[in-house]
Amino acid sequence: MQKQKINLLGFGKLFGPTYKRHLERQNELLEKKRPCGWFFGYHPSELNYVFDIVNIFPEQYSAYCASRGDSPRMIDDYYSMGYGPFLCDYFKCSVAAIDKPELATKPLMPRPDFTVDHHSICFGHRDMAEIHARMYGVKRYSLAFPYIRKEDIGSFDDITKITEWMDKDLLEYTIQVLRDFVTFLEEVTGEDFDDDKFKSVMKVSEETSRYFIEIFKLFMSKPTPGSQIDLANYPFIGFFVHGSKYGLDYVKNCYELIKERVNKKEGVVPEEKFRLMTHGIMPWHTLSLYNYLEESGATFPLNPYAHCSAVLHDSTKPFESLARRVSTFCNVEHELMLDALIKKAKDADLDGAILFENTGCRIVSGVMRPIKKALYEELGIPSLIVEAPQCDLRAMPPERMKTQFDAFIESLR
Amino acid sequence: MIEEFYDSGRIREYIQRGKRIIGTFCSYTPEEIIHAAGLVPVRLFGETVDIMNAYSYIPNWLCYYSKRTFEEGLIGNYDFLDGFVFLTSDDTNQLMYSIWKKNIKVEYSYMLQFPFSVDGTSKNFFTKVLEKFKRSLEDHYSVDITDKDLKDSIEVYNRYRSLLKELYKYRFYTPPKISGSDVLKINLAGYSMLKEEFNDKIEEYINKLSDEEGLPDKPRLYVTGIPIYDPLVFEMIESCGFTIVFDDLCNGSRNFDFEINETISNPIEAIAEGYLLKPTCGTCSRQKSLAIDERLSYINERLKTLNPDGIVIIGDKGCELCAFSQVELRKELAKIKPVLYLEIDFPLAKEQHRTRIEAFLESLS
Repeated sequence: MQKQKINLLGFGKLFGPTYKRHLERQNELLEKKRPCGWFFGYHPSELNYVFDIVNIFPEQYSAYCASRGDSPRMIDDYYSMGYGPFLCDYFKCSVAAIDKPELATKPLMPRPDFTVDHHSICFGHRDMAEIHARMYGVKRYSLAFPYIRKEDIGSFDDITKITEWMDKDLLEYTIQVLRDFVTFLEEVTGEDFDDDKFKSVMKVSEETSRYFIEIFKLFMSKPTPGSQIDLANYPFIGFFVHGSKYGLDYVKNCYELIKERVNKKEGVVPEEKFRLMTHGIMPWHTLSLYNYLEESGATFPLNPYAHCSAVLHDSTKPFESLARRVSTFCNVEHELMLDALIKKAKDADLDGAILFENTGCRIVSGVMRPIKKALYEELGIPSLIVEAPQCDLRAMPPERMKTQFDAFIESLR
Repeated sequence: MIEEFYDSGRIREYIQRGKRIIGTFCSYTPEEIIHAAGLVPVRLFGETVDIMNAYSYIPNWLCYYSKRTFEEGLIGNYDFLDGFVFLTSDDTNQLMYSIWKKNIKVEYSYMLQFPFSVDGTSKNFFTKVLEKFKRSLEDHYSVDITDKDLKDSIEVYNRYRSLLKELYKYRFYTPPKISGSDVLKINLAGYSMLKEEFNDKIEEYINKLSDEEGLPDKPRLYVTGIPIYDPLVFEMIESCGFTIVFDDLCNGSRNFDFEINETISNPIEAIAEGYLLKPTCGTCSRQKSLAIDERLSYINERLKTLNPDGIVIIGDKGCELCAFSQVELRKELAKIKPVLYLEIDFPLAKEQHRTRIEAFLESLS
């Protein structure tokens, strides 16, 4: 098979300066002795920018460890602590970083003053925040966000997350949980909540969300304009730093790049042969696996995992808008998720799907077989499910994965 | 005596009497509301050992309980179910609700939102959740569930919990009057019975038990961990030379060591409060404390009273709650008593476990 040259959009190059700004903010706040919290994906990140909290993300740190090749030895340490194999790789790496910092990727995460758990993506976050808090002897705050069932929202759009309706009690409850959290942050910082600042952060957040949505829509163009490598930093912006000015600048610049590419009708590879969906947490240790497929002409216009980064905000109703975002759509009743996904799969005109089952992640792994079934039954699209823990390449060595990819692509011809 | 609790035809008999059966999976399920609707809540055990079909739908590394119950559902062993009720109490339950709903055909299915943090906001929300659940049952089954129905059911269930507490006390005697395995069997039998019937039976049993002679004196164990729906596990441990004097499994004391406050005028609110405050498995905790610390505090109180010779923690690699908490639990409990951690799956690797249990027994002497 002749390899094609990949023409990246260049989102990755833009990310370096963005991340630098994030680290500068962190360091500046640490120097000022601002409180430091550990947070998980889909937390109400905007509030950290209102209260000037040092925001640390064990998941993002673990992905970073995997990309630097340090995660296997950290995971070995995790096992030596007595834990079992079927927990999240993010937990494995983060707990090892606390237990044996000398094995972990530098810079290490700063010690937290508190940890925050929530139910937005998974229950595992609650457990992780609890263990982290216990290891450091600090407070853990629980944001008991609800789980979304079909009867709560009817249906939703996979990209904008606009719902058919939203159960009033559910929304009111989520807003109250957020308000209680504001009280906690007031206690932690000793400062009153600044409503004006909140509104201004939410404006940034709304603008960010609009760019996200446009980018994901453009990504579905024919030919697929970008690589999955271009999207690899999206969860960082969407899950962790939503509401930051540097996050907004990043997506704004990305939008300009993709708009130009789509206007020129250029694709990520010269000849697009297959359009695939990919879902599941990315294999952070070997993101080049996406390139392996793209070089063969298989592109990815649709990635619902990355789409989780986008939720349309309405800054005129800041608390309601935030409540809608944290009532996440990464983890909802399957019927809802599949309806939304099938609609987008139709729009994207797919030929197949490559689904990453992240061993230890019940949310992601549990929905892969239903997705495979629904894509085949509703659209006649075949899927390949690959067992691929996101930080441990030993469970599915990339070369073995490539063999499976080859066979799958061959079957599509 | 134990055998009289078992009657495999009981559920069919309920159906013949016009009752509808609702399957449940978690000890946080407020069965009082189902019972008040005139339905029979039945905890599903998952007795099938060979998983032949389930892995086509779910990963093979999930907890044994979810795999076994789902397999039984797939092969038609739960054809007596009219419906099932799940709770959002962990990731597996959330996932399995969707999987069950899609693949196991029943008339009624419901997912209860469970707020895992105990505070005023959660209590108000959970009260609303339970009110909606009540309305859903009323609509589906065309019944009115009155406050009186609910209060009557609360009374039945409070009596059920109090009788189980009473039964557990007979294990505390030196020597105990009843083994852990027998208590587990009785407990399990109660899950598929209407509680008013079970209550009468168990009361009679307890009365007889008080006149029984004690069992041979053996080293005493405190057991904690995952739900055990197979008496084989306790039988295996006790056959190695131990007596299990207490278990705080999800289907052990954590299922009954609480009561619903009958003086609260709104019975739904009383149920919401009762379940939020029941002994935690790790799902739920008060806002400013950790679930592990709450669990440790519960266990420590009982260790002080019971003074067992050792502790066995029963784990399951696939159970996320257990897998996350077991390291900290082992570390803390080992400061107080010798601890054995047994990680089980089915088919049970009986001989391997026996070797470890026997070695543990030797280490205690």
